[in-house]
Amino acid sequence: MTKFIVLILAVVHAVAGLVLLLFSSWFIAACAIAGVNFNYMLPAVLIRALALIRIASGYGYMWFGHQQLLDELSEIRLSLFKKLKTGLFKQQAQSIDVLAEHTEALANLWIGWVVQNAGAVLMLLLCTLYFLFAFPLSLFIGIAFSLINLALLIQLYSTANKLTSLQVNQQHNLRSRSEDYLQSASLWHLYDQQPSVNAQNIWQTQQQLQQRTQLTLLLTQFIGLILLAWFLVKDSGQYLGNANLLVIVIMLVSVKDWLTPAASSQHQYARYQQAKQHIQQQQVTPVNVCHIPDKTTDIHLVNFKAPYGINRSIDLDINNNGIVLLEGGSGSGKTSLLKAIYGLNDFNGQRQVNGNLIPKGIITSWYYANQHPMILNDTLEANLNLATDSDMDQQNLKQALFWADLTHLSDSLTQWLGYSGRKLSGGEAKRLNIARAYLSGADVWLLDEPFEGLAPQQQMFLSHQLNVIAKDKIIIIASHIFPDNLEINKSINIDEM
Amino acid sequence: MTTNKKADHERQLVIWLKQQRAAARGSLLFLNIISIASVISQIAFLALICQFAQQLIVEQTPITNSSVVKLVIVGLLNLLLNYIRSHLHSRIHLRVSQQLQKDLQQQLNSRQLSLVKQHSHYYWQQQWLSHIPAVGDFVSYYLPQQLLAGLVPLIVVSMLMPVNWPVALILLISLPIVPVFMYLIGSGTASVHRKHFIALERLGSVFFDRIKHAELIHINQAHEQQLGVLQSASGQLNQRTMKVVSLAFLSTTVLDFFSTIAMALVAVFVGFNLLGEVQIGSQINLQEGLYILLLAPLCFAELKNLGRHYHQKSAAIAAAEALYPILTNDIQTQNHNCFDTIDWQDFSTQQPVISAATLKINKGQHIQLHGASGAGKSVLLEALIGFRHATHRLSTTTALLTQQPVILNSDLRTNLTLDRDITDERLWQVLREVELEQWVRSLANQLDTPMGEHPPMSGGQMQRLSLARVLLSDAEIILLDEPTAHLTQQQHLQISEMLHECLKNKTVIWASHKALPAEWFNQHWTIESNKVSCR
Repeated sequence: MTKFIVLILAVVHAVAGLVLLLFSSWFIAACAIAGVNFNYMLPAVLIRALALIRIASGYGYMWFGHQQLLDELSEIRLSLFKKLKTGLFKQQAQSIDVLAEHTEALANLWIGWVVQNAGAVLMLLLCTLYFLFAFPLSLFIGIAFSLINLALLIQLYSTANKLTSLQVNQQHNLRSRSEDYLQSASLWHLYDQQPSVNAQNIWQTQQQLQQRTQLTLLLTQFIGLILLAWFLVKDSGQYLGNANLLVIVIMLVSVKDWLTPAASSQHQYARYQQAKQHIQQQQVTPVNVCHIPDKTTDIHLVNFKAPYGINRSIDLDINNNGIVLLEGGSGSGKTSLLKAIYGLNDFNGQRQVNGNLIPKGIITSWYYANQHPMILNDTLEANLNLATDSDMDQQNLKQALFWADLTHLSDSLTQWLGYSGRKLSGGEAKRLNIARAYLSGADVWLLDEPFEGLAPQQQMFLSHQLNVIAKDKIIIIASHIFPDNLEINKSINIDEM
Repeated sequence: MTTNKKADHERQLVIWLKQQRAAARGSLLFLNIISIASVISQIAFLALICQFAQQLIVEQTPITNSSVVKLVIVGLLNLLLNYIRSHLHSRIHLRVSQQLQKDLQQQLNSRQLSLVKQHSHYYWQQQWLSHIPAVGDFVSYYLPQQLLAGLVPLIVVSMLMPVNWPVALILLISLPIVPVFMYLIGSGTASVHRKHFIALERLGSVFFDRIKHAELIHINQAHEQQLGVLQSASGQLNQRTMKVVSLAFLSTTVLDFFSTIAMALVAVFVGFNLLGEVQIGSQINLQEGLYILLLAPLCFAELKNLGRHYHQKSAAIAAAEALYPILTNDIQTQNHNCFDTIDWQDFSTQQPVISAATLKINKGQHIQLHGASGAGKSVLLEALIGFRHATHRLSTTTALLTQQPVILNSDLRTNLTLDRDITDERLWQVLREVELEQWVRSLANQLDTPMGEHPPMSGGQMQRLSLARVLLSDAEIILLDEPTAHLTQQQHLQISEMLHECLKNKTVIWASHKALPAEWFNQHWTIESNKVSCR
């Protein structure tokens, strides 16, 4: 609905501008040759009305257009998020920023392209009709004018499509090239000839697109000029003293002004298509969910192997509560293994819980805490409540903060964390993540490098807390360091396998 | 106070942006001349049209072919000038962008790792993909357009003055009002925007934050909860954004208002004048009337164009915000000499400041660098190698081994040689030294094995490969920045032993907070509260 209001307002705005110019020209020509009976009041009123319509529809178009853009954008983005209900996007972190640009291009199609072109086509049609009624003998000039301009727009559209997809490819290449380049920053000083990044081809393509747009506009002017000359030489003699003549002349002369919005919009469609393709190609890796009705009392991994890292498969039997340590340095594949045990990663082999074979998928009564804790852009309270089934009162949250050695944050529950808010230190983020495990009430915890980035006394404290909790549940820790007071029930060294 | 500071800062950025014109001064001057010539040719073209209208409609005489030829020539001249103009725009854009790219590369080459790690990879990619071209746009489109928006109305008014002074006078008076209105609305919008700024920033970031952290949401089974958060956030975001833009659009509307009303009023005025209903100024005919009608909108046309380019200014300021602090850093030149001993007094780094009363290094010494994590060990090492500003820097070939090994996504050979000319024989020799020979021999393609995105190596193996690279560099001084930080105790012992053995003949500064045998070292440096003490 808003879409059509936007369309109508935009077209009215464009057409009113053109008609105002043409009608004003006609009006002064008519005044110049007016007889005594010329009713000049009505056209004068009409001119002022056109001006007001133009101004009002201009503002309305921008307002509704923007409203429509924002609504569309949030709809696209929400539907993207809904796709994640049962899966994860296969991608790296930075491609999410690219995704942001793509959703904008998708939402922009209507006001960026459809509306502009609808205006242009309608104006060309009106021009032809005007010829038909006012100068039927010169109709062919009107038809030629409209058709050639339409052809020029279509030609520009196809060039813009090509250039835009070329540019999207070039940008994609630059992203992956610069990713490798930046990744290796610590090696640059070892090169004889330092590596570099060059983005010139992308800018060149952009400039080419702008030049092509300008060229098309110059060609429309050229066509207008040639047809005007033709009209003046061949036909104008028949219409001497006709005020409508001026309308034709001004129409042909001002063509650039009223075709500019449509010409400059042609690349938007290509951007839309590229974005659509990209978003459709976003593959979703399904994330399965497994429910285990009873409390987990034993876990058996048989011939168990995670996708990356360790080449050999492992066997692990956990029969009672306590802490199990998977020891390994970075690159040993312990993260991949821990995620596979939890069910976030695929695995080969068997995973048995409480004597039952459990298929691939996250076990809902377990909790996995990442090596690099993720903090949501939200309040501290919301970051903690993420882990709870229903929102807890502040007293419980404060209790969890106290447990995780974050008492200094208990007065900051409503503080915003993350982007444009409070930045937590690495150690604080780590402990916040473990506070989430505490709040989740899970009966198995899988902790990836929980001690990394903590000062020695903080490591000791956390270790003590885990020792206490582990009396009642299974805690699997993957780590390359651990404090002396950690009571380890069972330990596997992954590096030595 | 803070708004004042912000305005000052922005002024500084605009000055810096304007300085970027230096890369294409000549072309810019040429562009301005061509643009003005194009406006004048356009006015001449319109004047001819007006003359034709007078002939055809009032005098009712046909137009001679030679006059048409004249019209076509003037028209074509105008088109040609505009064609040159669009070429010049592109040329200036590319020149400015290339210069900035070169400057950025210089900074990256000089500060390397210590610069790169300050920001995310996305941030750096944006420099090439959007910030540099945004400055190019600003210099090649916005600034020339700004000049035109100021000049063209004056040209037009001076051309109208002899024809009809009342219209010219009204335009002259009303013209400055337009920018005043736009300024008022602009500052009103800015204050509304400031009011909503933090909310807009936060709400705007929420959506992609949740996509980025989808895994966390799965772990917490919080999809429904977060969907609710997103729905309410996007509703609020749209509402607040509309509040800001409703006001911002008024600025465009004011311009539209003046130019449209001007045309309507001029049309009515000219029409009534022709009819003899109104008589202000000299009596005019159709030719003059049409001339006034067509020229009046030109006063606003360039200002409107400027409005269309307005987003370029905000994009350029955002770009300057990102580029200015990086590019205005002094470049230190590096020269390599042989070295024997170093004896520095009053050493100090900049931002953060790590200082030392004296630093002595003799050739062949091994020095252990102590300090808690975050004390500034990396800062000191990066200053020594020359990636950071400091009073002194090592002036001999130096290599740095960091805690995160990097494996390039290419074959093993390239990973070792880094495009340097090194024979296979030497590669095997070094691989033997770092005890990777057996592993490489076991690979199907040996040195030509592609490493891929997930190299089939353990952390210990990766660090050995990194050491092999450093050994191949023939650097005299080796800086080790916690090379075993991410390894287990056993791996730490093995790799440390190997480093000690392989680097025997080099000068070594070794940062570690894991224990190392004290007898390996000739000196111990400790960083505590930003001071280096040596013993």
